[in-house]
Amino acid sequence: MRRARPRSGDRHDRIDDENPLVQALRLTLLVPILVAAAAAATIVALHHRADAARRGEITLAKIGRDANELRALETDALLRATNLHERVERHLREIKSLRATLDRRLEVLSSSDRDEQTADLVQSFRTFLGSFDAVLADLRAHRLGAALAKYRALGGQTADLQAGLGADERERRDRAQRETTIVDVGTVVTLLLAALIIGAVITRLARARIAAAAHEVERRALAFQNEQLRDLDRLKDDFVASVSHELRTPLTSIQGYLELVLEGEAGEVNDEQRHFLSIVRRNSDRLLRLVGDLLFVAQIDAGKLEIERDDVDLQAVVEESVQSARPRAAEGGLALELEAQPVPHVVGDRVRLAQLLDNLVSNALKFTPAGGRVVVRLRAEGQRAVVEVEDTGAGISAADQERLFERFFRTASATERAVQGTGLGLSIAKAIAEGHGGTIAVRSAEGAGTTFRIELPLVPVRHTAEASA
Amino acid sequence: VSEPTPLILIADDDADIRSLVAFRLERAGYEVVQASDGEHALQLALERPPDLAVLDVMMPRLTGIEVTRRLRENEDTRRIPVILLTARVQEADVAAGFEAGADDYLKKPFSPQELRSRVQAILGRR
Repeated sequence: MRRARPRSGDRHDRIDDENPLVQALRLTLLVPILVAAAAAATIVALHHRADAARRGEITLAKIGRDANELRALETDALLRATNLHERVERHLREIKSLRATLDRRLEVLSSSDRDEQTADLVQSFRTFLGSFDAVLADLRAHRLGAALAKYRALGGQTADLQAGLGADERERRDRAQRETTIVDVGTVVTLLLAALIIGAVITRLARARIAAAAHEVERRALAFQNEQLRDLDRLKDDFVASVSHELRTPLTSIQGYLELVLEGEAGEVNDEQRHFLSIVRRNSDRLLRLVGDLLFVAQIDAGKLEIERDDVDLQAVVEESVQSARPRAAEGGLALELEAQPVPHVVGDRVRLAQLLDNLVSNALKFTPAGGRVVVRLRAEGQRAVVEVEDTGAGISAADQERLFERFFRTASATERAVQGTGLGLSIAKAIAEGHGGTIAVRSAEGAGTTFRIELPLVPVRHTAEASA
Repeated sequence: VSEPTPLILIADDDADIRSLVAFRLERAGYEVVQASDGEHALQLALERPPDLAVLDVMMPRLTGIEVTRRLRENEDTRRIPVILLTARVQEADVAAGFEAGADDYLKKPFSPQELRSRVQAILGRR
């Protein structure tokens, strides 16, 4: 090392030793070489920059094309905003895919030009697109309010973004390229905002149309439903009339001819024949009662239960009901007792009240085993007439009591013991009691008998005046 | 024997019921003509006015109520007593029957014996 230095010094000395002409000639040769090198370096640098610029331009041109495509798409969307709902969905999908393309282009842009300002720009743009995505999501979910709120917030971001772009611009080496970038990014931002607005408008229009359509559908559905209900009501009335007619007519024949035969009009009837025919008659009676019950229920349903407003002597009704049930009580080995106190007359329908009493007494007799007792009581309690039908039967479980007055409900024990009935009697009793402004209630415990209690108002109701007028 | 056998018109679209009523009334000593619908009943009544008509309400072509109304419009038939047979339970039907000029009504199913009693009551009254 130590030696090198003197060698280098030697060479220097040698140059210094050259004559000035040679030195000048050497310098003259060196200058073009240096110039050429500089030129080559400049060319290379320029070429490199041009290449980067070209790549940037290509990217930007693509962004521009995408933007134009986006604009065309929005115009199309606006023009064809007829079948709106589907279109909104489709355009939102396309916007999303364009949005993905823009993402890729930005990627290319950021990798082709690594300077800080471009990176910031791309970052700002991405932040903006993130917000744009949130608006898209709201639009997609038709949360128009939320979308518009986010869109307003985006307005501020856009201003910041553009201000940022403007500041960057002053620091660019290649103004033209930057300007193009700013213009293009600005265009894209504007177009995206336009897309948002158009999307919002389309969504709003779609919602208005959908709401109008829904309203119309609802209106028609309601009209249709009303029509159906009227039809159903007519059908029900027709049904009631035809069931009434169609079932009663054959029953008239059955019972009429039975009567003829039993009276000996068709010849002598022996005891066994008489017994069998009496079974036929009993069952046709039962069928007739069932038809009557069903029609009664249909009348209740149709709101056509007619309750006469007459002066009714409850005591007479109760006595008659008990009297007519005596044969059945005797047949079943049951004691049937009446404990009636005088009560003022009530206003009501004598036939219906008798039906109510008959139903309760007949139930009590059916559900009380031989040796038991059925007591019918009548008394006044304040402004109410109280009728009780008490039996010493098997009682009704608490669960069954809850459903007792439901139509067609039959207690488990009634079904098990094959006690005849339709499950309509108590629902009819309830309808009659309530039709008189009264109540019906049950008190029972399993194994401890059952008491039905009816309360009817004793105060003459206003209908009296109307009925007698 | 000096008095002629009373003629009774029975109209019902149900043949079994017609026969049943006819049987009962013939046994009771009446002469019976039968019609299976309202028009036929009206035609028979106009051709040969009966002493009494038993008309079903729900009949094809003309209802028993309409037949009653037409009978009341004609001088030859206006005094014929009418018993309506109704299978319908609505009180309004009964009211409509009386308004049309019916004298009595029976709800189906009715006892043939009861019908005979009503017929006898009306014809005896005259």
